[in-house]
Amino acid sequence: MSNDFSRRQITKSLAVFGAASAFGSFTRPSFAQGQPIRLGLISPLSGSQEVIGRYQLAGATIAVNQINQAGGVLGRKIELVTRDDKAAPAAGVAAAKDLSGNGVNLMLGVLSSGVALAIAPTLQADKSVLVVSAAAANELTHDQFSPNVFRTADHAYSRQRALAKLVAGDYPAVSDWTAINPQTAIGTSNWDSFVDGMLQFYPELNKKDPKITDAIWAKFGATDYKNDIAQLMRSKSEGLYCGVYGGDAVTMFGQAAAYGLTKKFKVLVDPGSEFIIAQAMGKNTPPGLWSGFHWFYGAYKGQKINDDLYDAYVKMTGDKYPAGYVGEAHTSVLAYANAIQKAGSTDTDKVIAALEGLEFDSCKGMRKIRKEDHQAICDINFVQFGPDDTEQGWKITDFKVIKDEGLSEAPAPGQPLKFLYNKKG
Amino acid sequence: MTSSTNGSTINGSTWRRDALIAAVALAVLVSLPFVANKGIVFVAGTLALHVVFGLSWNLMFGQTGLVSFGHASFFAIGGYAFAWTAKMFPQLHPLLLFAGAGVLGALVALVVGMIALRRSVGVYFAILSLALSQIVYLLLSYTPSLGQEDGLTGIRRPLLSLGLTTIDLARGDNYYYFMIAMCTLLAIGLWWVVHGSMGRVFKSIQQDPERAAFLGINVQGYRLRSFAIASGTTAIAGALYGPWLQLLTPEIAHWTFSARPILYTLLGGVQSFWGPVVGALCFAVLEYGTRTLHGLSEIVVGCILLLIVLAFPGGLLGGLSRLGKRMAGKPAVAAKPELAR
Repeated sequence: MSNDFSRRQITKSLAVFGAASAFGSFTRPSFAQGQPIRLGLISPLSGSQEVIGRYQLAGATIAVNQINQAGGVLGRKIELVTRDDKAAPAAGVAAAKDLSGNGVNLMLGVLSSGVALAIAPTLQADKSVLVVSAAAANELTHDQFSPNVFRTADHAYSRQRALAKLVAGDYPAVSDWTAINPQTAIGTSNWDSFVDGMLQFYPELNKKDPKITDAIWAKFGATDYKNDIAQLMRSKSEGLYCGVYGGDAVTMFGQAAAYGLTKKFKVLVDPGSEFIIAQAMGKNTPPGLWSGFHWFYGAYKGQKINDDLYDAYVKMTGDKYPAGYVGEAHTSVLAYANAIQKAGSTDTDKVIAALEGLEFDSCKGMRKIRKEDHQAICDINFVQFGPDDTEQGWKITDFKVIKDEGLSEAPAPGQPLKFLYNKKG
Repeated sequence: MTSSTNGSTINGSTWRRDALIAAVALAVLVSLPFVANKGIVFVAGTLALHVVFGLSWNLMFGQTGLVSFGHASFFAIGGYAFAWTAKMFPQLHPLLLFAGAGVLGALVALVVGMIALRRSVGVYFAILSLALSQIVYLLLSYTPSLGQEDGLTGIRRPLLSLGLTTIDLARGDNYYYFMIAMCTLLAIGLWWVVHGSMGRVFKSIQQDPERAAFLGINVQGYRLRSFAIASGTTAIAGALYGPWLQLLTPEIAHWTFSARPILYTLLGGVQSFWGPVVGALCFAVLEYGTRTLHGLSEIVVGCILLLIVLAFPGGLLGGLSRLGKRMAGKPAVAAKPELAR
């Protein structure tokens, strides 16, 4: 009997649960003056990319709290509605549809370029806007441009060219470069952009041409890099561009230590793994590794937005090393707050018009969103890591802020990115 | 088959009951864009594709006794074939492309089946199908013209010219309705196969292949037919998925996606035609209901599924039919032998 009872209970509660969830969403909310302005955050909040999604959530939450404490926007509070994209395109589209279906048309976040490219074409029909806080694929502001997508973060082209400018200036003796890259669109586009920057800045700064040796292409998500590492050990190049990023970079450097790869090259650079490599490698952190950052808090000490964000983050999480994603999600919320204030409305078309050409202050100083292709022009940050004797095992040895002066391409929405110097790209 | 009088009366009542269920389901799906928000409409459209995916898998498993662990490969073959040809040859009629994707899926199944089904059924066939899906997955993630890991982006919803009129499937909910119509046709096709004479031959093979062979049935040939029909239908569902999401990634060939129709069928019930439908619906409702429980969603869905499977070993429909019999005063052991399996 008890078995029977529990079964009935389960069926009953399931039915109630199903009905409640279905009907809960049938009711369409309507905004009245004084009700909160709802911003939708789309981010990987579960799965393998959750570690980064957590940073985006923290940054956006802090921005919303700060704005609300200061009295909100247009006298209304901001409310953050979160949706998990699991870093999967299908889940991302479902999240965007769900948000717009529930009347949340102003969205931000998105880590994976695949998710951003999947959501972009659906926005116009749903009268929604997406302000991308991380996804760096050049296509978003080129071939796959959508008038309803903005990017307040730096993109692959500007970031990798900034990295080339950094090494061309700081390491004039290192003229021969090679790379190990993942076989993905972003892997190819990052390397092509870096080469483009090298071919421009190295001759400009050192009055001679650099030598670019063909890159090694590894499988994305590979678990064994030994063949690739052996190949790199035979290379005559002095600079290594390590295009494999995130968890893959940790795997690669973990295996490379045994071969002495990190000592073989004079300069090692990484497009954007931020703290991930150092935090995972500890005492085995490759010495002198330059890593690209969306935002490095240490570079803007003394600036109020930066310091307030850093303090709020440390207070909220207890973590002393906020990744750049925190700053970029924070920035996207600020962009909305500025645009809504400027437009005097939360209407999608008016917010789009206000975002176009918007200049606003952020955790890494002033940014300007270009009217033509919706790409923000902003600083690009790099941090150099090295091993340390402390318990932590690694330390920050240097950092650089590169201003975007002639780093970004001319706007060309709807057209593929044309490399000026790298004719192979 | 010869049991005409008995067969036709059963078919008559089943036909009326199933037509009624289908009509109600269709009415809900068609009215959804008017009453529910876009999020729910997107979930419902995706659900329709998953229903076809589940139904076609169960044609092999529940009807013919073939276990495939790699059914997603046909979803991916159909999806990529449609998206690639639509991009390269935009002048071709979309219906021709959808049909072509189905034919390609069926042909691949025929070729693979001729080799794989020759000697191996059961777990051997399951493993071979799993291997096939991983091959498809790797091929997709290595082929530059198919976008490698990043997949095909910017897949357009086509213009559908129907002689007198042309419908732009990119406008409003047009593609949703088109997809519902296509999925209904595919489901009717599968129902017809299951309940027709071919379905009865499949069933006899599922119950006892040796006896079926003794009766003069070409067991190998019919297994191949079941595999090809299921794969062709799945390939069309895959083709419909590309323009729906406007993007395809190799993930749809991954074994985790192959697990979907298996879950739907086990959840809903193997023995009933409607089992995978109920399973897919249940799954979609659970996923949608837990979407805001970030990180906990999978755990909650997993626990509920586990509870259902433990409480209803024959799936939800199997459990309901036993419950109904018990309520009617019949002892539970009087359930049909196949329900008890």
